[in-house]
Amino acid sequence: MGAKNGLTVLDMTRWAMACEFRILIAHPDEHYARQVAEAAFDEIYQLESAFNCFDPKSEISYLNAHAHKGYVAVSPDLFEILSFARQIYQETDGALDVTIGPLVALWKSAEQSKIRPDGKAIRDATDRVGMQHLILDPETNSVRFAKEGLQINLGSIGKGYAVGKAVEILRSFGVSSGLISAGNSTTYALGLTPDGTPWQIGIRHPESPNERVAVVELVDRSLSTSGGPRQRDEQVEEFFEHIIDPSTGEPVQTDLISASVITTDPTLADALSTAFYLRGKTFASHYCLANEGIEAILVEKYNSNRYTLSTIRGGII
Amino acid sequence: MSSSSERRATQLTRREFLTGSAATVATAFGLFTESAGKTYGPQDTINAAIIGTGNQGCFLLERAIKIPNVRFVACCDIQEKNLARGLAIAKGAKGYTDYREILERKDIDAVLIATPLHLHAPMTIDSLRSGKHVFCEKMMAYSIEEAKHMLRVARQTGLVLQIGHQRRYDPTYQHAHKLIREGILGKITHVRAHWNRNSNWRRPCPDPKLEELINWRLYRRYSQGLMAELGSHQIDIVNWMLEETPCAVTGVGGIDYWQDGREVYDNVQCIFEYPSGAKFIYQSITSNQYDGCYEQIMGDKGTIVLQIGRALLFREPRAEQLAWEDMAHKEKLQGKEAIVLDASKTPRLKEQRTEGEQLSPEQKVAKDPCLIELEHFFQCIREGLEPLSNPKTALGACVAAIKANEAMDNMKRVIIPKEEYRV
Repeated sequence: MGAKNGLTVLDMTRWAMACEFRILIAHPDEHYARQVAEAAFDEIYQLESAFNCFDPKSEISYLNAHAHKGYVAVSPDLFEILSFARQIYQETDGALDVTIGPLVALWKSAEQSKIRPDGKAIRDATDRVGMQHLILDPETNSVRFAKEGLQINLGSIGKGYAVGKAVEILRSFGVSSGLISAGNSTTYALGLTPDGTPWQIGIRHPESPNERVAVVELVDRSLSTSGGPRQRDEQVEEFFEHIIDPSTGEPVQTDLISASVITTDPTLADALSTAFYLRGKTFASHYCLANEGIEAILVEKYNSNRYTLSTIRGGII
Repeated sequence: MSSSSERRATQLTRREFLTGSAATVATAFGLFTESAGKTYGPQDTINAAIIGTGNQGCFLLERAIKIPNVRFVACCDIQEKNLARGLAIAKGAKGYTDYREILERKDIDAVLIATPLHLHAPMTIDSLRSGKHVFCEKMMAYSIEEAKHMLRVARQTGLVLQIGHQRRYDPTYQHAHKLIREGILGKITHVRAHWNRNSNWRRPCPDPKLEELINWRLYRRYSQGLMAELGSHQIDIVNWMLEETPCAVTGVGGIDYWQDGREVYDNVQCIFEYPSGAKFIYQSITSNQYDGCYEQIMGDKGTIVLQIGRALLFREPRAEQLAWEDMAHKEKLQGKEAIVLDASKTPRLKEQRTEGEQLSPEQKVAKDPCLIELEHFFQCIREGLEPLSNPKTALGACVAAIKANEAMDNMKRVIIPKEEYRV
């Protein structure tokens, strides 16, 4: 808690979606700010309970179990995120595919058993992956799987979506200065800081988590990062990399250490950071040049203990 | 919200929220009653409406739209923002700000009611009198007399009235109930339950004129406080597990932490006495969430700790070993070994003494009890069944919660005569 320029700065953190969500609100009335933060956390918890495919009671688990038998009416949030996922799947040539559930389950099991899955297991799981099998009916907000065994996993965009919804809550209650972040992956900066300056958000050093390779200034924009030191554990074999490439069915092979995306929509930032991490620098460059308002910061391997930084359509301070 | 819609919402707040209930009560006590004779086959579509599309209403609606052969054709809320949320979920439904217009529609068979507590009775009674089956959120009613009146009208009309105590529909609770009634805990002597949070229970309110509309839970003329909003769920479970209702209650409550103009207690501690001699110690506080939410049923042969989707059995040292005990999944909690009561496996273990077979994807989905309770509501309409959470069971929780508030208000032990539960 702090106070600047007549604004109280409320800073709250809560655990949700397997990471620490942080909500920072600058507002003259601390009690009001706290109520708004609670309302935003309530929204995040609600999304977590709907989107968590590892919770058998969640809406996504219900969909995964029933949608192959016929259309299932879903909540507006679930329909919106699935519609968005289909759009981004098309725009990224399939780099981001939320039907990746069977592959995630396969590699999660491999990580636990420390036994690499064989080619047949990978082919079997890959056969049950594919956005073309996901049928969306916007007239009724209903979803159907054209293939049995399809499993949705929103891990690559759920946090970004939750950050976006929490920002909507803050805005709807008149908050004009704040910061919302989901772990180390996605952050949104709302307005200016209480000092009247842009929010400064750091991108972590790949080998030294306490250092930053870049600091980005944000105003009403989001920064999302995929890859990075947390998701690469040198102590275990490479195949336990957490991001799976839906096109190969195997853990991603990339020269990037991390990919960060800056744009106005946190769900898009979250999705594109995964897609850029998977597809690499050339793909990211083409995408940023073809689409306005998208900036990327890529950290590449240089040799065993050095890295290079590439900024595509963005400024680094 | 635009300034015109704010004005409208404010006008609605004052006119309909505060005095609208009086007008509807007049209708409720009137003479007209629609016929309850309509029957529905398994494939017939039931047309439904929802009254109240705030957080809880939308929570219900998101589940109810998944039920086959049920179509939501109308949503009602006096707040424009809430109504828009409801209509976004029930695609194709028509929006209303006056629920009586919904009741006039002959094509609507059933309504879900998720409004502030003081409106449950008038809206339920109006709906039943208009020939609609009703699912009404808990607690059943603001007053004992209103709850009894709801029960009487449901009986008179022969329509389904279900109250939203969803724990009764949770397979884990049902499994625990079966085992408890079979005597797994021996003689039940004590129950403890908590629902502890660390939050102020407020929703942000950008316009002070809307404060009582948005934060109705905090004001006595609309709300019975923590005992109704949280406690009634757990009282209902204890009544069910013990198969009796409290005969006396004492308690201490206060507005001690959140001194922000609220009128309902921010902490409650009660002891309910049951005719069997069992004592039920209940607490709900808003300044510490360590204990969370659970019910602990204690008998001379064991203890069951219940939460939604999870039940643990601790055996007393003197209890005999269960036939299936060695095969059951075990967990340690605070150094004590517990048997996990798994509704999908334990009955099979008990009957067949074999490991459960591979479950299908559908079986693996532990359904949300709120979805199950709504599925059951529509099943009751189709098959003429009595809901598990029916007006009689819900009255038990309602009476006990209101009497607990009376005990805390007057700082005395309140006797609850059997007649309070009779209609």
